[in-house]
Amino acid sequence: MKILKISAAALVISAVALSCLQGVQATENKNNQDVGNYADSLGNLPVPMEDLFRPVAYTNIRISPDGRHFAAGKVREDGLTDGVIIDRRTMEIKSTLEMDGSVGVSDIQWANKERVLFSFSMKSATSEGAGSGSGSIAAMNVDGSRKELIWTGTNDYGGNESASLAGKIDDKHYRVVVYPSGTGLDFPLQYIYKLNIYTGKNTRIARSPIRLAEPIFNKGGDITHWVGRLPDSFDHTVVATKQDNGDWEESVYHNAKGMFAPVSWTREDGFMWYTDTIEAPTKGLYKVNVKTGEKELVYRHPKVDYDETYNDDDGNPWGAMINYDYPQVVYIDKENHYAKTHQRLQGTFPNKVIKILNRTSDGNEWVVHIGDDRHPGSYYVYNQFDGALKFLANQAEWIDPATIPATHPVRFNARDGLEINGYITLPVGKEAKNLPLIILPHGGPHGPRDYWGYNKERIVFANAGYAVMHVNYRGSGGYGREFLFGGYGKWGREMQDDLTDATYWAIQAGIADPERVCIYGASYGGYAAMMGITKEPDLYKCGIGYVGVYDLNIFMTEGDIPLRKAGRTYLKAAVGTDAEERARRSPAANVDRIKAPVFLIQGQRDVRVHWAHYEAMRDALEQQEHALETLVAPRAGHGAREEDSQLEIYCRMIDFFDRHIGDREATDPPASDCVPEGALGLEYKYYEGVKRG
Amino acid sequence: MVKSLLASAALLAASQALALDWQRPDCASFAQESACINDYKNQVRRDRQQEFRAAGVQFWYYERPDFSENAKVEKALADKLEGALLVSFDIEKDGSVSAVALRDQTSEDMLVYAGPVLDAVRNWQFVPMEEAVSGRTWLFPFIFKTEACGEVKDSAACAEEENSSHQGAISNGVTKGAGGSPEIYTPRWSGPFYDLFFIHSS
Repeated sequence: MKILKISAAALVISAVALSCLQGVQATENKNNQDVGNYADSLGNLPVPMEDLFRPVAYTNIRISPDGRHFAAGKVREDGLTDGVIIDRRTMEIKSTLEMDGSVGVSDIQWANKERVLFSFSMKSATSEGAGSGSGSIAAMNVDGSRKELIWTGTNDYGGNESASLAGKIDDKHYRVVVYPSGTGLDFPLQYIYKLNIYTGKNTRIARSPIRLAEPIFNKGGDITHWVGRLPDSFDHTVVATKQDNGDWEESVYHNAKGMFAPVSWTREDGFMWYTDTIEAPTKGLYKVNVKTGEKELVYRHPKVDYDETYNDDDGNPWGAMINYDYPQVVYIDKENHYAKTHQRLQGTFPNKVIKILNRTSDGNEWVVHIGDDRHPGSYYVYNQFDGALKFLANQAEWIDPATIPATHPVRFNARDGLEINGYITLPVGKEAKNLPLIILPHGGPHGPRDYWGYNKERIVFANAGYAVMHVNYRGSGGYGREFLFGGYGKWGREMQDDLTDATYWAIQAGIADPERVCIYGASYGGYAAMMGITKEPDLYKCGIGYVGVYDLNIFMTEGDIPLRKAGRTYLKAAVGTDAEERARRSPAANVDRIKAPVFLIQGQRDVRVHWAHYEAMRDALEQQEHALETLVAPRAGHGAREEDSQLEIYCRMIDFFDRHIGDREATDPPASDCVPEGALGLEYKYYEGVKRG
Repeated sequence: MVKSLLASAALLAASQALALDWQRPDCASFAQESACINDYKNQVRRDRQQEFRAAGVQFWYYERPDFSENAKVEKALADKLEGALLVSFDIEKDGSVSAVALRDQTSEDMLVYAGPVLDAVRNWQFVPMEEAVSGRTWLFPFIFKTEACGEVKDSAACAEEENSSHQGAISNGVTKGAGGSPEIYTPRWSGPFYDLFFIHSS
């Protein structure tokens, strides 16, 4: 699988400044909108769909250690992200790492003042972080010379093993952590390689003693601990500690009861940072005296896990990112220079998330990202000598925050009293009263959660006039181990009731019109959507399942989860051991209860949720002569990543909602203009069902 | 302390009489030297912020001296030659720098650093202003950590230490929400199967 090629004549010297490029792109985009008639039948959307799905213009802006350059991901018109080096004095692009094929830059690190390392992900997943990485790494000097693909996998395990950068050894070498692509029943071991960032020459330097483990290095660069898993369990944490004689001593924790695992060494000798979930259900950060075992609680939030902590130049944590309601940086050490600085920036930009991305080696200048729920964000450079933020680049100049629906955190108690958190996104310019509502449960379900922030999906629906509610139902991550483990075995039961209770909350709050509520989700969310219309046939007026699990017995045997032992134990814990009970909790086995019209969307190459789920649900509904629409993306896996596919899918979803809880009639024909111009189009089918209308 | 030092330094420079009176921060009360030096750096930063605000001056491009490829300077760095240089300059309306001059130094030995320092200051670019500003001074202290990490400025080992200390040093490694603000949640690195059953739907 050759997925990356750095073109030979890739050095592009541009005389156009960064800000000018943004202007040009914005104008071009405007012209494009006027060409086709895509999605015209959806009516006059306040923000055109193409603007919402357009990838951000810049990603990963990072300042060089000597402050003379910025490195950045610059998104091209075809959606790929090139890596560029910008000279700070002129703000002109000095050199470019041009992408070819289907990958784009997803992460950038400065190795030293002259060399930059680029990681890649597949096209359309290139807008930072999310998406599957291709696992290869390239490097380039600031002047555009010495472009090398320095990691494309090793031949040790068959080639193409993906790798992640895991720290610098010296100016010429980095450590990379390698995940063998083995298909064994057990979780794989991890390998550490020493990688020459100029030549790509690599040597294996360590193998983890335990499975799926992250290494912890001491000051000297030696691995002292690995934090991983048991070979066959999804819910245990194993801590391997190196003994004086070179052996590894293992401690095993059952995560449901809590774990105590090292995070890193402190700057001060003899102390380590630890995360604890034994003393309380949420994550606590502890400073531990390694010799005496004495531990001191540094920070713990009573309701949610901290997501990360921020350290000063001496390695002391001064802040923690907390996502309870709104994201918030909590100041652990209020007197700290960094805490005070962040607090001042927060004062300048209230209600925004301010993130320090990287710094020069002397710490005097930082790249800062500022964003919120109505805009992907902008980059700024901060200089410690003048205390001022200077604007660098807007990630999405074409997005006017005033036109973007706002998101509000909500809290309610489920029928058994458990506090459930969620987020409601409201259409712009409409009173939050009697609105059509879409309940939108996230995928996962065990571990992921929704956050406050710029979320394309909820914005797309709210832009079309719908209130959208994300619900962090029990089983979601981030609210502590009791909340997380309280979800296992509760599919179609308490987890589903939390969504029902969320719906009643929105109705009782007067926000939702009880006659106009639909439920939609992807993956587990697709299960919850179909289970919602099965279990509460009178509550929801329509349901959409996107790459959803529809039959829990199929789930036990098909797809990639049962391929590993840990996947099998996971399945038993998640959906139970009793086949009859699983059938009772399966939408496909209970379609006779469904009243609401159904829309199913499926990627034909999905290995996570097998095609068999879609077939079972489709056939069962067809047999009932149920009102059904289907949309199949032949090339998509577990969710479509191509922008054209996404445009078609979301157009058809909005069209479906419009006909059932929107301004149109259920008997109206479906939209005929959901395929973007130039796209092949997906396979859409409209079944004539007796229950329509 | 530094502010008064700067003020007195400026005074001295004006009279062109005595050598720059600058002293290494006293680290006796700190458990670690690096913490002491960082504390000193933060003090300098806060003082300069006050000065800059008062003068209505903002950096657009702050260039650091390039001490590489100069044998004499490299030797001085290797020898950990400590001290300070005081540089004066004017800022034009367009933000460019003019009249860059070395005003003072703690000792004649320090002149070895002067070339790269003056070159860097000449490249500074400020945010354009209504009025030009003249007679700004800037103190360049040269302090070296006596322990492990070596030279304060631009050392690879220190750079790594400093960078790693800040970029989400303690992260729980959880892959964050689909479609969220792209820069807001980026895991440092995470293995496969952390998401046993998880879709990024956008």
